[in-house]
Amino acid sequence: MPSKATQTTTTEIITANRLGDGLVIFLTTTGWSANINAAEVSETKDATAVLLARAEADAGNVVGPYAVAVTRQADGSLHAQKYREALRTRGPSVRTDLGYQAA
Amino acid sequence: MYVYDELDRGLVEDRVEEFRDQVRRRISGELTEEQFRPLRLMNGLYLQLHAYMLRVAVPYGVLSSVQMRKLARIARVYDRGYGHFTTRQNIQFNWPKLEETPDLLAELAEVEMHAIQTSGNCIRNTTADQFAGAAADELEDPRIWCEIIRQWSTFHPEFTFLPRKFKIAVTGAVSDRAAIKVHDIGIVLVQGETGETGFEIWAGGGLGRTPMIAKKIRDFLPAADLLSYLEAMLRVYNRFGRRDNKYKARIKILVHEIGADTYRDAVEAEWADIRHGALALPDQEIRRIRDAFAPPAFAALPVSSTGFEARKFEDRAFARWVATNVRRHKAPGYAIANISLKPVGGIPGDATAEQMDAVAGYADRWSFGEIRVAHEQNLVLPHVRQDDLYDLWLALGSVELDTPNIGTIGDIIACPGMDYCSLATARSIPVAQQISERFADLDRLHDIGSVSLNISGCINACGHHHVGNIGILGVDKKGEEFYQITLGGQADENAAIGRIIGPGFPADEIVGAIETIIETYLSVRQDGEAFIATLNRLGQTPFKEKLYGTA
Amino acid sequence: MALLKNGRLIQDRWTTVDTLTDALKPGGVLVPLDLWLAERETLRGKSAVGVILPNDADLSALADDYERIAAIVLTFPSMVDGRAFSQARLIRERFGFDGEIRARGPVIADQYLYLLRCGVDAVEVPDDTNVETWSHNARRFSTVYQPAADDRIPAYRRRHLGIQTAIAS
Repeated sequence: MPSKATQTTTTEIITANRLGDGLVIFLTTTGWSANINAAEVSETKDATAVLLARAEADAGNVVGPYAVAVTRQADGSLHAQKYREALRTRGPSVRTDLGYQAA
Repeated sequence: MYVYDELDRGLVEDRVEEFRDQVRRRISGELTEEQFRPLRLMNGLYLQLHAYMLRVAVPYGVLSSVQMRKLARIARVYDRGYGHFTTRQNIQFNWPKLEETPDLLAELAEVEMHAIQTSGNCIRNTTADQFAGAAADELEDPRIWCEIIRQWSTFHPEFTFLPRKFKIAVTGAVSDRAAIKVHDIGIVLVQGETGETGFEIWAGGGLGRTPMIAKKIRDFLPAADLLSYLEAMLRVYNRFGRRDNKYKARIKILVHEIGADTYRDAVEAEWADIRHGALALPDQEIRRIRDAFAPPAFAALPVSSTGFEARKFEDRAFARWVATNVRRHKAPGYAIANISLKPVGGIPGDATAEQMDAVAGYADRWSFGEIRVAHEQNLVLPHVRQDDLYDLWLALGSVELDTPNIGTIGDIIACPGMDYCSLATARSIPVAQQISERFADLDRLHDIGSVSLNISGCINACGHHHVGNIGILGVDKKGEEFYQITLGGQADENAAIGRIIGPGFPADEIVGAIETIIETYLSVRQDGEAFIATLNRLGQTPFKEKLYGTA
Repeated sequence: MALLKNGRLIQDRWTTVDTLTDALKPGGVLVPLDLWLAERETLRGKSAVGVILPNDADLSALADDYERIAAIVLTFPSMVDGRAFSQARLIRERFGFDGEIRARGPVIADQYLYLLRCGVDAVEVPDDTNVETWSHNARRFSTVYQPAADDRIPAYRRRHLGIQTAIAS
């Protein structure tokens, strides 16, 4: 378990894949970003539903939006809680030269 | 090899334009994602964890050197410089852009390739023995019938929206290398009483969350009746297969629930009505396709080559590679050379564009331009002169394709797992990498001998874990990757589903558990006894005791 | 809804009803299979009756009726539920039905060729349907590989007719 000093709030963001190239993106206050740290964060289930509705309204540009649980670190960065979602923010663990982790 | 005529070529070109139009309509908003999804899947385009993934069909695992070079180019231009060969003898690219796939497909069409029906609830790529046309134990070349099935099943108007995907496999040899008993339909070429070609028909096999071995539906089907019989089998399935639950929609569930006899009766009744209809193939067409698969112009050679024997004697490393990777050919003086895509610590089935180009070159030089993809995720040069094997081996070494581990515990089948797949519940590739590293020592690897180890990253079983002598299934246990072991699976003519040996292991203990199983085998095996034979003789008990203690 | 038939959008003159009283009113009616089976002696007296088939219907229940029915409606609960493709072929090829077979449900233009090849000749579509997209899809493929309920000649026969080039061009 992380210590109290690093653990802060548990909350959600919205992710999807971009229609044109399929890459992983996150819903921001103004659109979408490939950077999870730019994601708009929801603190409640109701707020998540609002974000999700906004994402789904953009079905002409994105595919399969859904909510992901994240933890905000002490430095303000966002970390996906599930390993699967953490992989999506990075790329294949067996090819660290590919995906966002390579940038 | 089969070469397209104008009709085949026209159809694939029409398909490229159809998909181009579908992509355009999706991007313009004319098609919703819900409408587009089944259309793109029927063209092999998935949305995976990080990006789209395109699965390109390699019909019954046969590739020409020209096609292989095109795949290398696709990898370079449209992807990230590599491709992944699959357990269905196809190839997948992991990073294509939706916007670019129509151009990618147009390039594939130039070399008579496509992605038609590589996904979706339709009839998928028909698979075959990777040694077809070369194997010493072959009755007849299964590719003739695979090509006939390929054409019949392509854009079949009645069977494009089936309850679930549908996989057909064909073997023409005594040893079943095509795993026909774990397919929706398995076809075995057999000889009739007067020597004529016919088929033994199996149905209802499959893996996934309810693994089942196929049941025999017919002992002998005359060759001319193949398509009408398949049409009857598919029609019964399309009408009566379950659609209420996707996990119960495969034909294996239908056959299991109504029973093989009832299914057979329904098929035979349907067949009686269509047997003498338009599906009977003209003899000229069978001859045309048979001619396309005529053997290449083999030289008249002695059965064995003294030069080859001398090389083996002189070079122990070469002899070792021959022992694991080379198989007997039906033509005197020739051999089948397997190219392992399982380097120690590597990703099973992956090949770089450079490796693909290199293999294309070796095929041109030493194998009549022919390459095969094996369902074990390896490549094959089917027709190599024994005299050329040494040069081939040296060349393979220069591109790191000379790993001598075919059929050993290093020759692991693994699905992409959570590193790529959006359905996976755990990673597969890292487990395969660690196991191959643990057993990297060649003396030890060869002492262990023949054993199949298959890994799936979720219950859908794309890594065929149920039919590995040792199977590993990755699951998610409260957010942690956990691995269950099954023992006793076989994919050959003695097909069997492995049984779970006990509680699973966390990621950092699974490799040690596999080593314990292998050490146990080594301690109790009799002379010359393969892993599966020891297991079948002693059962799981000795392995269980070593893994979990006797208490 | 409009009806797409013979490459044109036309007004659907048939009314879907579910009681005998409504079925006996003037004009063409489409009735559920159950109603037909229960009242077929009465309904046979009327000329313009079509029957709506669930996609798991036993087709032989209508074996004696195909000559008297003017239209059959096949049901597609979703675009990916393809049972009615088999029904269409059987109704055409086994029972020799030559009236209208129409598709009802959320099928899309990309499925039109398959529908036509299986013997469906009319599709219920939204009023604002782009007919050109549908017609284009129906004509898209120059080759077919298998026989079906239509009259297209599969490649394995065309190849040996000796007029292959003429057809392909």
